This record gives sequence, C-alpha cells and structure tokens, in this order.
Amino acid sequence: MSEHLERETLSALIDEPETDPGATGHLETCPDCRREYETMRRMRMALSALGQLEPPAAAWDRIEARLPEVGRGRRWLRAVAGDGWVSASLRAAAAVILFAGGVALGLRAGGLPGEPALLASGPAAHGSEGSAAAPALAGDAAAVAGRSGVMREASKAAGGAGADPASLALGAGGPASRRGDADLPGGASGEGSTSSRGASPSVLASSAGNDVSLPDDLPRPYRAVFSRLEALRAQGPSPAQALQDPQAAAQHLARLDALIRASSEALRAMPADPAVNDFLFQVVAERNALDRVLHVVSLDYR
Amino acid sequence: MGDAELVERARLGDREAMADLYRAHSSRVYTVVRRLAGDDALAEDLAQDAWIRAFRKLDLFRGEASFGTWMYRLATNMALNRLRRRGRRDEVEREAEILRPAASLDDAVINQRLLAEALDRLPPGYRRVLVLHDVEGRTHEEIAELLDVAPGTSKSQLHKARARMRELLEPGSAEREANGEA
Repeated sequence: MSEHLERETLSALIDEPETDPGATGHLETCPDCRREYETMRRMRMALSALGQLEPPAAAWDRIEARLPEVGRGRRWLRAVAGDGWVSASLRAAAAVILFAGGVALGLRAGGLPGEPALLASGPAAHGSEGSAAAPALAGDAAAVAGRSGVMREASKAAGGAGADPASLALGAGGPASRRGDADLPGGASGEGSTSSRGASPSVLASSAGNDVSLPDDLPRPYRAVFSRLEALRAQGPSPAQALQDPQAAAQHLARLDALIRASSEALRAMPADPAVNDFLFQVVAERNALDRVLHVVSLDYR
Repeated sequence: MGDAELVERARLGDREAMADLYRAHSSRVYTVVRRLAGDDALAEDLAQDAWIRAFRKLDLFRGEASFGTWMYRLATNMALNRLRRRGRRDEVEREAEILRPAASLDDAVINQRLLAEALDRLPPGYRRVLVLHDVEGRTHEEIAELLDVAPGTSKSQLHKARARMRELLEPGSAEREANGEA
C-alpha cells in the first residue's frame, strides 16, 4: 500500500486495529500515517477527558419558575396556606376549589351528621356535572374515610366538642356569590363567627398529615374540607401499586375525575384565577399520569 | 439526605428536595446536553425542559437505576429527540463562526477549549455520534438504539466525525474555511 491512509481509516484503526491488516501493516511502515494516527488517537483520548460543564447560575431559578405546574397538589396547598404572601382573594378562591372538590368527592359519606345539607348548599348541587358524580363516589369515599379515620378527625377538628354540622357548609348562597369576602367565603350567611370558634390549628393540621400547615386565619369550614380532600387524595395508589391493584387505581381515577369536574365548575365562576387554573392543571396532570399507568404506557428512559 | 428520600419528597411537590436533586445532578445533565446541542442557549432550554419533565414524571421513576442515571438518560433522550427534529438548521448557523487558531496541532488536539469549540462546529449528526461515543463512552449498539440507526451507521459516522474534527483542529483550517476552501 503506497498511498497514505484516509483519516477515516485511521479512526477505525484506533478502535479496531485488528480488522484491517493491510492498513495496520501500512501504519507500521509509513511515518506520516503513523504520526497522523497518533494525533488522532490523542484527540480521541482528549475528548474522553473533556471536563464537566456547569449550567448558568440562574438556571434553577428559571426551572423553579415553571414548577407551579409540577406536583400533586400539596405544593399548591402550601401556596394557599403558606407564607402569608397569598392574597386574601387567592385564599378565598382556593377555598372555593377545596369546597367544590370536597363536595364532588362525596364527602357526605363520612358519617357526619348533617352532611347532606352541606351537599345541598354547595355549588355541585346546582345541576352541575359535579353533583352527578358525588353520589357515585360516596361509597368509595366512605371506604377510604373508614380506613383512615380522617373524616372523623376532621369532624372533631372542624367542630370541636359538640360540633355544629352547619358550620361545615358554605351557606345557602354558594361560594361564587361571596367571593369578594376574602376571609369568609361563606360570609353572607353570617358565618364570620365560625373563624373564632376556636378549633386548634395543630389538631387541624394533624388531621390532614404531617406536611400540611394551615394558616390560623383560614376559616374553619375550609379547614375541614381541606383536610378531607387531602386525605382522600393521599389515598391514591402509587404507580407501582396501581399496576398491582388496577381496581384501586380505577377508583382513585374516578375521584380525580370528580375533582376535575368540580374544579372546572369553579373555574367557570372565576376563569382567570391563577390558583384555580393551577389546581385544575395539577389534578388533570395527576389524573393523566394515573391513567397512563393504568394503560401501562410508561416512559422507559433506559 | 440521599437521592431516594429526596425523590420521595419531590414527588410530593417539595421544592427544596427538587432543588437538592437539581444541585446534585445538574452538571452531568447540562454537560451532556450542552455537548450534544453545540450551543449555550439551546442547551439551557433542553436542560430546563428535561428537569421540568423529570419532576413531572417522578412517579415513573421506579428506582431500578439511580436517580442520576435516570435523569441523565432522560435528558439525553430528550435532547436527541429535539435535536433530530431541528434537522440541519443549526449546521447552517455555524458556518460563519471562526475557530480560534491553535499554536500547533499538538496543542489543538489536547486543548479542551479548542476541542469544545470544534465539537460545536461539527455537523449535528457527526457531533451526536462523536459526543456519545468518545465523550460519553457509549457503545455503537447503544448509540444505534438512541439514534434509531444501524450500529454500522454509527461507526461510519464516528469515523467521519473524527476526521472532520481533525480538519477543524488543524492550524489554519479556520482561515481556509473562511475563504471558502475545503
């Protein structure tokens, strides 16, 4: 072989020197090709030793700014209940959603006296899709509540000794008619007194799980609904559990569907509210993720 | 706190846990994405999308591999898919850029800055194979699967990519290229 080797051939020799005896033989006798081969081999080694790069310093901030669409609702819970930056109107909107979701989930099945009155007064009782979903879910919700005891705890928390079941309802006007009243979405029926009825915040928090922190000034009726709703959502199976128990997963899917309907109902009343939109988005995302698992359409990044 | 616990907390929407996971693995993720993209802004977009997607899909992380490995694969796959869709657009955009000259060939082939610049100037198809094989250490079989090509195609692209890199690192190549010479 008299002509010099192509660089592509030299590259192949770096990885597989045995596959081309003719080229290997030429390499041993041609100083120019040998030099070029060594250069390319050094380049290949230098490439494998390229150092790691750091992302821009502000990259996390930009990622975090997009994270409101991520999570399973607990983060939204913190946003609503958390650091005091949330406006009163936002909190009111959140309470509307919680109530609507709670109604749609059929919370009356928890055995609380007077709960049918709650359903009758809430938004889902006004001929919406959510009201239709509630009875179908009642048994399921009762089963969940019976297992966890959460609803009983929530009942105690909401009413304390001799709880007044009526305090769990928003009042006859429904939340949409009173959304201007920040602290008391049920204020038109004179429920301002409920916030001073004194359920212990620590008890309320413990009824919904250790990671839930409710603000002291959140009206009590919403605390109760909030606790129940979170408890029900927390009963949802993990993807692994869903694969093993499709029936439980399907039940949770039905809960989420009802929650979506209830949230959509509330969104019609306040279409531009960011909290409502965000919450609906999250529930839809959660629902879709569970649906994908049920259909065993998982992403496998091997 | 280990990754497993951080993942569990992140699944519940814990921002601090997400931030910790990001801090622990952001360099590795950004590095592979940046090498594949050949462009800072595009790389940041790709890495950002990968992290957002990862946090959304944490429920699908089954713990069979480490979180870092899962995240790295996710970012690599996402970047490759996006870059494939971009086609040859960025190849054209690169033509006007001039590679800074090296003092000598020996300097050039081991100089990390020059190597990185030459990588950025490679045609995207070459760059992907070269990065995956020589920089990231993937086998041709793995690359074939990632890029949906035959292993032989991966090999052939790799050798062409190395030859092109070698040309780009040759002293004077930038000037020749700017003058329209091959």
